[in-house]
Amino acid sequence: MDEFGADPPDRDSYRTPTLAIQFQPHPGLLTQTREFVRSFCGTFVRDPDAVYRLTIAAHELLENSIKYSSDGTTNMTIECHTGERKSRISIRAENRATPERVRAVRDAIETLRDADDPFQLYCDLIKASVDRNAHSGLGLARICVEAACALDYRVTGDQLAIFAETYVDHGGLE
Amino acid sequence: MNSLTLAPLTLAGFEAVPSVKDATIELALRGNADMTVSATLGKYLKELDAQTRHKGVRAVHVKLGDLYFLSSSCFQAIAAWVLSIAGRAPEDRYTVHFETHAAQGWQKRSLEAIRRVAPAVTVVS
Repeated sequence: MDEFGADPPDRDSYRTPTLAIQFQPHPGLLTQTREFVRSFCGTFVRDPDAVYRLTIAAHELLENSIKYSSDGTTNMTIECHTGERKSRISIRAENRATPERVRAVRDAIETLRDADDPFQLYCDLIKASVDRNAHSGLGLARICVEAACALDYRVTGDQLAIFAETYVDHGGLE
Repeated sequence: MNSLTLAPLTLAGFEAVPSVKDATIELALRGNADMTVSATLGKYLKELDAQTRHKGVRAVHVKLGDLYFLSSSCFQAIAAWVLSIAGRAPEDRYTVHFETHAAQGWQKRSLEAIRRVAPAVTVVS
C-alpha cells in the first residue's frame, strides 16, 4: 500500500479496473477512442476535471503513437488502483519506435523530470514550437503540466513504453 | 466596420465561426479540435489575422463555450497565432480575448500557458 492507501497493481486485482486497447492508430478514430477512455475513467473518478486530465494524457499518448509508431500499432492500458483516500491511475502506451524516436522521448521525459519549473519549461517549448510546421512536440509536456501526470518510459528492444501516472481523489469505487 | 470575407470553417466534429460585433471580431470555436483539424485551423487563423489587421480591429474575442477538447497540435496553432501578434510593434497588435466556459475547467488551465507566453496581447476570462 502506498502513501495514499492505494494497492499496488499486482495485489487485489479485482480492485484494479483495467482497460486495455490494441489500437491501430488513425486520426479519424481519436475522438471515439478518447470518449471511450473518458467514459471508463468517469466510472471510477467523480471529479470531472480529473477525468479531463486523464483524457488529455491518454489522448496525447495516442496522438504521439499515430505520429511515431513504427508499425502503426499501439497497445494502451489504463489501470485504476483504488485506495482508501486516493486512486492511482496509470496509463501505459507501448509501440515499436525508431532509435531516433526513443532518444527524443527519453530526452523529453528526463528534461521534464529534471525541470525546476515544469510550467516554465512548457512555456519555453510552446515558444520553440511555433516555428515548426509539422508536429507540435508539446504532447509529453502537456501530459506533465496540464494533466499533472508523472512520466516514465521503458525500452525493450524496439518497443517503447511510455507511462503516465497520477493520483486523483477517491472515486468511490465499491 | 464591414463584414468579414472569411467564411466559417466547418470540419468533421469541429467548426470555427467568425462574426463582427461592434468594433471587435468574434470567433466561436465549437466541437473537438483534434489533430485532424490543426493544419487547417492554423491556416484559417492566419487568414483571420490578415483580415483583422486589414480592418484595424483592436480585439478578437474567442468564444470557447462549446469547445470540448483541444489537442496539442491545435493548441500549437493557437499559440502560433497569438505569438505572431505579440511579436509585432505595439501599434500593429490587437488583443485576443479567450472567453472560457466555467463548466470546461480545462480551458483556463490550458490557456494560462498561452497567456504566460504572450501576456501583452492575451486575456483569459
